[in-house]
Amino acid sequence: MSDAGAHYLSYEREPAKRVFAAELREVTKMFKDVGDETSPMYVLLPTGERCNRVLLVGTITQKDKVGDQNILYRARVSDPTGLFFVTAGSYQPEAMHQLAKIDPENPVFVAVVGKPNVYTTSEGTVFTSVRAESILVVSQETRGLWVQDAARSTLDRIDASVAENPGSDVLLARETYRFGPDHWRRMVSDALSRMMSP
Amino acid sequence: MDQDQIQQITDRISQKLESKGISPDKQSIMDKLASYINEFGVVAYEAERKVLSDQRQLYDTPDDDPPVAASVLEGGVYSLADIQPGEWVMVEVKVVSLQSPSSPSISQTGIFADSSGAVRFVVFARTGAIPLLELEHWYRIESAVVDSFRESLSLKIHSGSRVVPLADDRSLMPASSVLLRDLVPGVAASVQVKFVEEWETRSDRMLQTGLVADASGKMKFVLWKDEGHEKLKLGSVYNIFYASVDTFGGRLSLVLNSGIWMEDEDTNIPLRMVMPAPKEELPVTTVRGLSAGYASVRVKFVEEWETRSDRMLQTGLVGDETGRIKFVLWKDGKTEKLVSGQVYLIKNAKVDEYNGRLSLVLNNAVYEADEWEADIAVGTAMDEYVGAIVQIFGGSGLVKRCPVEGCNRVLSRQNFCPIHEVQNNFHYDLRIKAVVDDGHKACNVLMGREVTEALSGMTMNIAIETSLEDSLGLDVIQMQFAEKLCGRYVRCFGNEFDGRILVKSAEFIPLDPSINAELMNRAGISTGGDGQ
Repeated sequence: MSDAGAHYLSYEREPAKRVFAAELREVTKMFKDVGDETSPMYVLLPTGERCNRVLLVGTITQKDKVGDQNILYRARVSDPTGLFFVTAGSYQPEAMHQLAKIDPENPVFVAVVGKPNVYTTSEGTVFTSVRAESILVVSQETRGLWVQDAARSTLDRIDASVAENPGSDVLLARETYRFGPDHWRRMVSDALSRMMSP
Repeated sequence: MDQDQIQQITDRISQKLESKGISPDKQSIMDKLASYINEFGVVAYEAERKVLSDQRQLYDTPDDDPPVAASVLEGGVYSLADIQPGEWVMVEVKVVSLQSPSSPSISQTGIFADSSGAVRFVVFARTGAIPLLELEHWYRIESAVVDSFRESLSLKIHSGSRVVPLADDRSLMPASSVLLRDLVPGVAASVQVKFVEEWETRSDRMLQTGLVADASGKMKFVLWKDEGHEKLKLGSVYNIFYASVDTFGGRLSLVLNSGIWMEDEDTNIPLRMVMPAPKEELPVTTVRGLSAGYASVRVKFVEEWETRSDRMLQTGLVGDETGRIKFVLWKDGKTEKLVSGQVYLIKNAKVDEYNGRLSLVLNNAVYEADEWEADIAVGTAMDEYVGAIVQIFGGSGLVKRCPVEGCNRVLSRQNFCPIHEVQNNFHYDLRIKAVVDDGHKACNVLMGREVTEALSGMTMNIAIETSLEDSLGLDVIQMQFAEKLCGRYVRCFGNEFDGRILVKSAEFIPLDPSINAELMNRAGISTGGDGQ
């Protein structure tokens, strides 16, 4: 709840949360602050925090260009826990140009900053994607730093979710999602162990 | 992942290919899988999909599973209050403002409103069938795209959109007024404010500027010269509809030209309560520890600024080890100017807050010069900011600055200074304006030439050469900085001033693999297991 509704006269930018793919994939709920018409749209993370922006680092495995007049790029980016679906369209020109330059035929690490979105497909499947604000090639070292950062942030969220007097986002996450703290601890542990074994 | 699992996946892929009559190179498949999974940390199922798809391409065999088609979202008519960036929406709106387009690729721009709110819109040129939108008319817009530029929403109407004039002359009930504190960049559908402070205009194109206020706070406003707009009356209350909310350096301001306003003579809005001056002498606090109200500080007068109003005696910066703060001395016939470089003990000064920034008003404070030799190393107590660079702002890289003494403003593309007009004897500078984000807070940072050169590894001379040789000119440097720095983890040392961290030194954070083990212990699960 620390960053809930923190609006001042000076505009406060939403921070980029560090979230593993396996957690973001479970997201089904989007919401705005109750009673605040100007609230941005948040997704509710299963570990119990709201999130309007993410930073992720992973390996790009595919890039598709769809549309001709309104070009949209879709990319698949894998971290050690799962897949992120990343988009960049003509309305995110910077990210689109950056993604256009990346060749996914050979694996490279990319850092993506973007806004998470939950969609319901016509078949009723709920699907989470990230609309990129930027997507750039980074080194293996940066990927290693991000995995540590995401692990630390996720553990912080898990700790906060089991603390006494949890905030409203934690309570809402408990109502909404099926997996509890142990599941997410295991995800973090799996991600780290893949960094440690050769 | 162990070799057995990679072998299993290799077998699965090979079988699929063999069923099409292909004899694949199993070793190559296995090597590729090992690279994706072990070296690049890709999850096994995605590595399998990728390698299989590459193999199919290699042997030119079609995929059995057709790709999942993207579903277009159908949401009926949206309220403007509910639209989110990236969505394709249908809205029913009234054109409440039209402005002249700033680029030939745009045919029309202005503001749409419905009863829930308002948003800027852009109609692109060459959209063929889109009729010219008329002021005060209602339209249904189908398949418009909600875009977000610098956190501010707009509605883009392109060749795939459809615009249907609505014949019924429905009335528009404007959205209820929003407090200044709750405004976000974009359009303020409705605010009720009092014009509390008028400032001198600093540009010929500006008709009026100053502060408006409501119960939640104050905000700067600007009214540019254009036909049909008259000045506001100081001290009056106004209902303002559809003003633009602009952001500059994290500060919001209202630009009235897009809007309409009416004086409201019957209302006097309660402004934020002014705290009564304390009777006791307050203990000295640090500049960094200040908050709105009253405070005592021990500070050095470090920078004098030109006064912008006849009523102002002196203004500039004072500071202590922890930071700097703007101060103002109004003319009142009894106060005396501060002496540059001198250290002062200031008791019970009023600390004003405007737009989240603090300033000291010295008029009713008691201030005395400290001993003549007294000195303070201002702003030397630095804070550490650790995080990832998540954005490089426009205006980063190589810039040209105005050569007029004391100006130093960044020139636009045509070497145009907002004050001194065209200046072809500019000098270069190198800088980075970026966001450093630790996952909890996003900080605007500003790095000057030295820090920029050290972090980017590019000297200013190389930047100048590169930009002169590249068809993109100055932009190429900004692009290279973004490619080099975005997503990287940095540790910065500096001070916050005016909502921005002035970085004195910065370094990349190296990877420490031993941290993995620490985090693993914290996760509290002894065996790694395989989640896949």
